[in-house]
Amino acid sequence: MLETAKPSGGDIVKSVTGTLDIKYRFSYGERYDRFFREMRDNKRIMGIACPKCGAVLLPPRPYCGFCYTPVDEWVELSDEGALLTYTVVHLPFIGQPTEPPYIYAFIMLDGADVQFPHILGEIEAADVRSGMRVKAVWAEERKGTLHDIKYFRPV
Amino acid sequence: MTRPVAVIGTGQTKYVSRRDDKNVPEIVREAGLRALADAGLKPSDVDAVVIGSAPEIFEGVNYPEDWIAPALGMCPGPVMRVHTGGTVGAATGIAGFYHVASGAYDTVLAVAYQKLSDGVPQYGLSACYDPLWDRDFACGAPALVGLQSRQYLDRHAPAVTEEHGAMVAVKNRRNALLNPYAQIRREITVADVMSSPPVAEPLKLLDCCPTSDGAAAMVIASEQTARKKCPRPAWFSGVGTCSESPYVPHVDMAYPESCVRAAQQAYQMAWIYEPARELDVAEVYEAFSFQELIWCEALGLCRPGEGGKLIESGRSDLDGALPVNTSGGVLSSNPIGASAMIRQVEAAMQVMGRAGEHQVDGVHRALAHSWGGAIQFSTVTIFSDEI
Amino acid sequence: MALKPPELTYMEGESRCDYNWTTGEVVGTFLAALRDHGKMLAGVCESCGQVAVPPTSYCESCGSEVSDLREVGPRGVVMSWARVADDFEGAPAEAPFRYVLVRPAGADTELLHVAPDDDGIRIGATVRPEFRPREQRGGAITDIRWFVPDGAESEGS
Repeated sequence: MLETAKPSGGDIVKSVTGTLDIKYRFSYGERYDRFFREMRDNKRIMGIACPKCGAVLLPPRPYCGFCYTPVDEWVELSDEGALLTYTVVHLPFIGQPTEPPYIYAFIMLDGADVQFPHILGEIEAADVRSGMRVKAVWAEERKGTLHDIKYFRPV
Repeated sequence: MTRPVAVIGTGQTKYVSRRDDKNVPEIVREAGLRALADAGLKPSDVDAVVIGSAPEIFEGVNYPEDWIAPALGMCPGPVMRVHTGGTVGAATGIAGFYHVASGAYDTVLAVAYQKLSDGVPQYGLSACYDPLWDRDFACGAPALVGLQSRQYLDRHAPAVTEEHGAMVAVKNRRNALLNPYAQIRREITVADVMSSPPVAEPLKLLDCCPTSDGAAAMVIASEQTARKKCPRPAWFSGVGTCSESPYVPHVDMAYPESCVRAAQQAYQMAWIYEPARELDVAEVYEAFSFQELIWCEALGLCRPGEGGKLIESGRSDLDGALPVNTSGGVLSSNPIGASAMIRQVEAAMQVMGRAGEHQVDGVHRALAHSWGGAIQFSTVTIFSDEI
Repeated sequence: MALKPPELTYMEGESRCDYNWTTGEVVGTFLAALRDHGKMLAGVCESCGQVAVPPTSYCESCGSEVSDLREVGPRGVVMSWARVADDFEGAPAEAPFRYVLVRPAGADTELLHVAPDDDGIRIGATVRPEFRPREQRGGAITDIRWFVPDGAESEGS
């Protein structure tokens, strides 16, 4: 029946294209605000310590995700740590600030109990090893985002 | 605590990279009607519908349940939508189980779908991350699972190697050759996988799942209806779900706690003490090859660190002692919102004896697993041929 | 401790993604008829008789398969309307305009569209679609520019 109803002038419209473009304002909240101000102004990475289980948490938050205790004790972390794991990203994606390939890494900063996500620099992918020591290289111009650190380099 | 509940019919669409003859409600309808036909029921026999799909950003539409429910003949009627990241398909099946187990409904149609070709899948996946924290670096799913796979490989080296991941990719694509619904049906070799282009190392292209359009459905019914309509129902004998955070202290991606706990919950409910011995078949959500080994360890199908030995031994092959991903797995078809339900569908079909060419002989107990989010959601469902 | 007002209140972000929505055969035929013939097609349910516009391949009323398409309208009746006084991002017309639910003659359901901000747009009023010129049509619901009160002069025609 569809055959007879088909318009004679052309093919059916198989798809409709469109773009969704939405602007967001992601709220920092009090904890991210303090965290990123310390990064921007003092080149300091701050964690928050749980008074109950003792874990030093990242990203900063008002409660411990482990034992649900309210947390408020800020602790300065080293900008140096050990590489937990890494991957060489070859896949491009929309809005990606770093051009692939790049080395995406989880770093356990000295003094922290939760991984810090960032990228590695000044090293070839083939030379990267889990467990190796890395240190933050700070950006000259800092705006209060994770890009205030350019990358982590091998120590 | 609960009354007996079974899957009495399943339905799937052929998974393809672009389904351009049908829109979203139409592909869901196709799977839903197939499941009803498999159960010998009509849409009017359904008391409630549970719908699952992953983030709307994949298709660029909002509250899709609004237009999907009428396509299933449920308008007006009880409809609920479920959403738990990549586990949503399985969570939808589990929600359907609760609908019936609670006594609230007798016969429920659970459907899950995704039409990834309508949008940009990796963009949707990248939006899963905290925009203030890790979104800029985490590139969709491959980067996260690249980190997970590296952690797993480095922990167990040299007992687990990149070739072991490639062997999983080869095995599952081989199984997919027997599954008419699978998208990727191609014989490949370990050398093909090892020489395929890097995506997020150690993941190479052939270690990765495709993106698919498709839907899956299950008819879930009470004991009374199951006994009347189905000669060999797949009884829900254990379900477990667990959610954790990607930012818990010392999160272990190579042996995820949410998976371990979901499995414990399901095994306890199903009275399973030795999963590696008591299960006959397992479908695990291996969106990337190394994950099959990681999940098998966390589910207790082999010992930690013995994933490499498991795949090498042939034990998880289609003709092995405990076949894993008989359907071809997520590596062969991946309509994200449906992928976790496809695991349940395959496990249920194996118990019901309706898996066709990839049917394993004498399946009494089958496991379906899924993961989602930034490896924070896990589900485990056990189907059995007896209550 | 005195609380300091936060400095970094928010980060600006944008979510921009292109889509290519599959229409399916029935909706695709409906859109092509708008584009090629300036006609509205409705789906006729052989089971319950409902005539639905826009059509779907399944009957939203009884769940049956729908494969029979039939022309409805072009005139229709306004079932409800709402006046939009101010412009907003993504608005389908320049404010002021009216949203209308139009039930085309011969159909059992309503089509959501827009209309000029005209007092002739009221419940029960007869309206007709004003199609865009053929060369401007692309096979979308916006190939109908809007519905105008029946008898009104078409703008630019």
